Amino acid sequence: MIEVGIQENIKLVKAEVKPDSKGNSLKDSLVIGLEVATGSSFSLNSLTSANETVNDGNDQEFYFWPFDNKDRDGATVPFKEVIKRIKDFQAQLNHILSGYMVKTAIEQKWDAVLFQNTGIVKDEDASIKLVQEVPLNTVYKNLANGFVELITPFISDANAPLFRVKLIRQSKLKHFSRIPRYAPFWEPMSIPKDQSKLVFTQWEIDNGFNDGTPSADAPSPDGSPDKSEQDSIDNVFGLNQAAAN
Amino acid sequence: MSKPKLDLLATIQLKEITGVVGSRISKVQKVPLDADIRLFADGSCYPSKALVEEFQLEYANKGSDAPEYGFDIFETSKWSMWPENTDNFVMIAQVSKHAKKVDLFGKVTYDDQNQPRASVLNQGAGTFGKRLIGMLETTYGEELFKSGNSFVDLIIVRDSPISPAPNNIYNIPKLIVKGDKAGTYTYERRENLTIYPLIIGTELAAEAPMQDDAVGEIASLGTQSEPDSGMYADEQPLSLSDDEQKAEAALKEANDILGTEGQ
Repeated sequence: MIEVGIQENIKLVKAEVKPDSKGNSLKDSLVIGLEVATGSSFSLNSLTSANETVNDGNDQEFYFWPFDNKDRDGATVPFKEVIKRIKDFQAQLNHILSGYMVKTAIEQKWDAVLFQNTGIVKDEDASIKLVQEVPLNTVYKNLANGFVELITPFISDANAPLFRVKLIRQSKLKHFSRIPRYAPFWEPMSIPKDQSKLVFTQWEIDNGFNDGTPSADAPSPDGSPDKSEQDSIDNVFGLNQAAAN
Repeated sequence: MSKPKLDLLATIQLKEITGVVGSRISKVQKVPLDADIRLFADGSCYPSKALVEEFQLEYANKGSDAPEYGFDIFETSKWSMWPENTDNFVMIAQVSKHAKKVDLFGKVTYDDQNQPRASVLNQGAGTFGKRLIGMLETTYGEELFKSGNSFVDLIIVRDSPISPAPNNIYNIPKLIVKGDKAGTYTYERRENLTIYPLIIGTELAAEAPMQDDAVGEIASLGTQSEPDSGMYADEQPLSLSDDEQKAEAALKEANDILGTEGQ
């Protein structure tokens, strides 16, 4: 397991869009795997919103969960919140990709794919379509597939850079690590530690997100993350964006 | 403008400043003619007109889309991408003025018409220049103003850019100057830079009194106060710390390593 903390010599070894276990293609998820370059291999689970980490033996994966256009009460999420979720996800992907390539390469990809197959034309008022499940999750899959296409050449590249990664605690209950929603959490190892920008914020420290100590009520580490966990952690972080920054 | 070459360095004799002739106070020409940047002892820096044109350093009106650039300047000794056991240099790279933490010629104030209050040619930019003096002295092992000279001229060695990083991403060291972490370094991510050595290359003619036409030209460029011109004082020759062969060999070695190892 890669523990909570600021971890070094991390290599991205996997990126794929994983089919939903129930066959709902709208719920296919982006998954990335990380490895410690010293030899231990890991995959990590995360959520887009929650970045949930689940231990699966020696393999762990970070899942970036698809967007949900409904809140817990079943009400449609406001357009403003939808946009925020898209932007947050995109920013996470941009942050990782920017360790490998220049920003124009990333922007070109997003320009080409972001609204593909959604019926949304760039610069049009998308406030009606984007709050609907199908267009919204098509945007998610466009971003996820675009990320995989951009990052894949580096996964097999033995000379791809290693990274220093900030991993925070999943939740008060779960001590496993997850990728933060907000940058910076990812920087090349070529940056000396004393110049690093990766630090735990005071808010994260105050709320124990820098602490990987297991809780007495900790759940089994191999349990799959479910929707209720995602919502729960959404609340923890979604309502504290400024503090998390 | 003639491009400086490393092989010139072996023949350049840095100027010693002698006393004032008679009672005349010579006005020092702030904008260099045969170098790229003139660095004064008080830290003020002035680019040559050719440099301003070549690197598009002039300030545009606020909100303008016109390209405008400044410089990142840093020591390779603080740069983690620089190969170990390689001679160190002060490096310079053109960056957009809109980037974060641009070291030199990056900021200006604007008047109520959104026009810059100063030209980059007469701004002075002394805040960073004081640090630049330290960088140059530490890196090249020379005390720049020990003989009382009022300035030194700096040259961007265009013939010896370092090899681009494989992904064209550069993490440039930046000194934190304020707050709890003042004095420590962080970094800024840059892309697609061309990074050149910046060397000390004052020539004998560099501290000639300003010609009348040059005075008028510069005076017309802006209203911001200029640093004290000062008198010519005792002049002592400065010498280059690295000879041409050493510098070339070190750059070649660094380029070889940077070109194959990436980050």
